[in-house]
Amino acid sequence: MRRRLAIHLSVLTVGAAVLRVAVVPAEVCPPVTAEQVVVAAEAAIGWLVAGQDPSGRFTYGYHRGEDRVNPSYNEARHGGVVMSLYQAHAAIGSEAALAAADLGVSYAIRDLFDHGDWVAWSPGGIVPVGANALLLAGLAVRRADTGDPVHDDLMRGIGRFLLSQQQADGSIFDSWSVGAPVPGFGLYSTGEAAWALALLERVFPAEGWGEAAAHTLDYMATRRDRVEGRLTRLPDHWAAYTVAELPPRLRTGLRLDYARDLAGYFGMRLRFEAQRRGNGINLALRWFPGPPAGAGTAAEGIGALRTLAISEPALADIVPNVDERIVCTAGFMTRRQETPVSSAAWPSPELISGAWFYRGYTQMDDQQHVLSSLLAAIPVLVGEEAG
Amino acid sequence: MSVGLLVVAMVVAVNPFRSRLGLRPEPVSALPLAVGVGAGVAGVAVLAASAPGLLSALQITPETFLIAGGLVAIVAGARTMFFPRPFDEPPLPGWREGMWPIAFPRILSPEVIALSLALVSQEGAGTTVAAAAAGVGGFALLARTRVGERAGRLLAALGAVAGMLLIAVGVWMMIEGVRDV
Repeated sequence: MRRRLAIHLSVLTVGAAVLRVAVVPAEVCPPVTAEQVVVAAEAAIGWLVAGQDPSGRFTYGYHRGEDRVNPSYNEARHGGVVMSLYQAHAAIGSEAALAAADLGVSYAIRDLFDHGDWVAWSPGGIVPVGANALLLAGLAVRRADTGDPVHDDLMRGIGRFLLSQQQADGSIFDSWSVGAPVPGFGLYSTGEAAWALALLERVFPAEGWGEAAAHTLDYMATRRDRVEGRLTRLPDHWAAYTVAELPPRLRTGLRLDYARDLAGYFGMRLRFEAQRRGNGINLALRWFPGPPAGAGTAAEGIGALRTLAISEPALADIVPNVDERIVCTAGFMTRRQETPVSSAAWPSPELISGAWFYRGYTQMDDQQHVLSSLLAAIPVLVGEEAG
Repeated sequence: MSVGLLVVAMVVAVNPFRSRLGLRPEPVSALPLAVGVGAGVAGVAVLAASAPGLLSALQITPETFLIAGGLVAIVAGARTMFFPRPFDEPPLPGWREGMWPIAFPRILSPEVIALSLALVSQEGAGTTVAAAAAGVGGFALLARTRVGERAGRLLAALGAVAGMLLIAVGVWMMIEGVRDV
């Protein structure tokens, strides 16, 4: 009998050990304060500002081991960084962020294309939806934050461009160019456009922008992945921003269910990320801590949903878990950020400090997405610290 | 998770039909059976009550542990497909038969342990224990009856059905664990 008992206990012990190591490693959430998060956000802003040239263009990417700047550029990411910097001014009052974002806008509006019906940023001859949507989102955040009407005409012009790309089913073509339209969908441009339109509703209410955003949100919630050829649902943080931005009159059951689904995707992604330590057997089973932009998008998505959940009774039940994920992510991302000390030994510490690297490389959108996620964590932490 | 689904999950985890096949064919006496049922349900209660603290100490969110519990349920359900009868465990004499093999390993099997820890986050410890007790009650009723050859075949078939249901429960748990925030 003792031998049989030993066999059973051995099976239980080995099974529990396999589960622990392979399926449920510890989810490590280092403690963090609101003040530490603000410091981390300011350091990320510092990296973006230090890499901005007088034209308003940002440093795109940097290979730490090779001490080499990536000379490429991406207009959608430019628009995203501008938007994130405007969020930073709205959240923590960073004047450096506001100035850099304004300079980033001036970089874009040098290449405006006036179609007659609409106006939009046209880098390189085509008119991309994603870049324009994020530029517009940034301008709308700025408008709501500062009240400055200087870009109102441009914002409405870009909004009309986005509407011109919107199809009857709510889908949005990803670019426009002179000649016959080429139907095509971007991975994220649809959600970016929907969010920009939802933000326009906030700053210019009763002009129909919100209804247009909601139409595309329904497309994303119900048909997009099949129509656009994806096998799985896209965990789209821009869709999360969109549903969170819609006014209460546009919050239907379908849209709130979509918000709940998105919160689930982001929650799982962040729980998984918290399991990553990048060493020992954990490295073999969970790989390196994920690309900062990946963790950042999930965290900013769930951060956007928090603003909805705390004001929407139908989603009140997810608020505690949402807060837990946001704070946990802020904890491990502040730990993963490069500091003046950790960057001092490298050839170009100014291109390292304040950034998040993935296997020796960082890119502007790494800072953008993590910065936005940290900004979303501040009110949660302030609330927790206030008791 | 609804209470109904929780009951189904715990009953098929206990799997009264397969567990009965793991005892001798003769009816089990009242005393060892009472000891086994009591110890088994008490074990589930201890696990369920300690689940939040245990998972917190292990730095595992309940949502993530739902995935692990689902995986255990799937493996255990699949095992039932291939091994419809548990391995024979020589019983201890007298009332101690209730401890071995009734309480352990028949009632407190790996899947019951895993689900007792994982499903507390769904409906609370009390409901989880009550759901497990329903399965244990069914097992106790079967344990008081003689199992002949034909009854053994019937129990094996019903045990396989319960195993299939356990796989379905495991899949549900994994999906829910992924979808939860």
